[in-house]
Amino acid sequence: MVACMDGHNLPQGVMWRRVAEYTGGKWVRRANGTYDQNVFSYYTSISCNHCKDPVCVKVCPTTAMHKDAQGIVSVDHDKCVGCRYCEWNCPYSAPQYDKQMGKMTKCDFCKDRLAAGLKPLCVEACPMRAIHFGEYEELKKRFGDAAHVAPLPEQSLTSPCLVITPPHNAQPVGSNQGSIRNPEEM
Amino acid sequence: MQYLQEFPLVFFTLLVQTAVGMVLVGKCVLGREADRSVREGVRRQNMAALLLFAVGVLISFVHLGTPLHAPFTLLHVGQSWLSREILMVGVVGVALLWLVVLGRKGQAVKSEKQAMVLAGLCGIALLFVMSCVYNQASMPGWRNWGVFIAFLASMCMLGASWHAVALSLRGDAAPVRALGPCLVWAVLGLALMAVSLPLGIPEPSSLVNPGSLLLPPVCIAWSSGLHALVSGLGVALLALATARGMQGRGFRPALTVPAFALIVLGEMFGRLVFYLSYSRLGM
Repeated sequence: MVACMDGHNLPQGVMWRRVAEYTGGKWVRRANGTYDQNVFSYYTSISCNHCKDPVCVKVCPTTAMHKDAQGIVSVDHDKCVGCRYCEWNCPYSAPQYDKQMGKMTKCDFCKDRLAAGLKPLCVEACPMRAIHFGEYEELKKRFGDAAHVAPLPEQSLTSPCLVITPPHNAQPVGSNQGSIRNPEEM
Repeated sequence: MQYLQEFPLVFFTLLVQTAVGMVLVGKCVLGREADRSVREGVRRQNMAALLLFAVGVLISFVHLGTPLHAPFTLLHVGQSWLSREILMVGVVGVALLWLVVLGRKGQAVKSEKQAMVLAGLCGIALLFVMSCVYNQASMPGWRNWGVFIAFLASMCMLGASWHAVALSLRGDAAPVRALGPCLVWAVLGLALMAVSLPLGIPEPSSLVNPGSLLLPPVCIAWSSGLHALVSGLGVALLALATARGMQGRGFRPALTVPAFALIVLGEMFGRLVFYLSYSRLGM
């Protein structure tokens, strides 16, 4: 997240990658007076998923939001009117409004770095090497076709090109057992 | 989404809906009457409708980050409801302009009435397209017919109360026959509002992350009740004014102006609550 903001020189409040802390569960008193718990907490690091059926591209009135031949969804700033309708619709909060520019911005998969044969900044910077990138089909072969987890939305909404290895206590998509505990960072 | 960021849209939607309502109610006020003074009065209101519409469209530009790119918004009519809305705004604008030109030229009553019906129908089509902008799969709180019905309700009440004020300002010259349509449209608007408000309260279980709601459902429900109360009081006051007018006791601005003010206040508050009821699936 920090590497992305730094590398792309993003203004304060514009975050192309966000890490949500999804937490829930409670302590329950047993009959014998002891306690049991089902508390869970895990993180989802999410930027634009360059969806197969991107809702932002569909709703954009100017066609500024577009998907290129490589499958990368990006904004054409020569057309963007700054209406923020893509921001309203994207269930991943990927399009971010830049107040100074008066236009939308978003993760462009570090196109320039890819062209230079480098990895995207978030992939390079992640100290746990938890973020990978590549061809979607190859990633699915490598990590499996894992179902998405809460708080992500149903995949059917936009068909995101995203594979997640769920943590052991992951809640299913649609679950309302937990909540995002760091909303100010989203 | 920041709080109150959509304030220009509150004015844009309400002004456009008022203008459409004014044309439709004006057609009913005109009725079969060929009375010159009534025709002149309705023509003035058509001109006012065009003016309000234009002001609404200008205010909508405040909402844009780069207003100079506005012409590009017509590039995606095939898929984007927002693009279609902007196209329909143009169509209704032209229809209203044509209506005003016909009035200025002193065209036959029949062709003027036909132009009013056409402009009104285009206006209703615009309201439908406008509602589709909000009726999207990732926004569950607005994913129903409630939005369109709410827009129609505002159109009816605002258009009717505007005409009631205009008629009352004529003093004793206000034709009694014209008062009925104003009240009928206002009551119709209130009935539509009663249908739409429960649909606008999101079901928390439908949200993946209930924290994505700007206002909690309980707060939306109470605010909707307040909206209904204020607008309802306005319509009740309008009914009282109409009853007095029909009894020959005068149709006075002392009642119609507060009625209009209450309806405007209620609708503005209701529209603000509508935007604050925004919720989205996902993160």
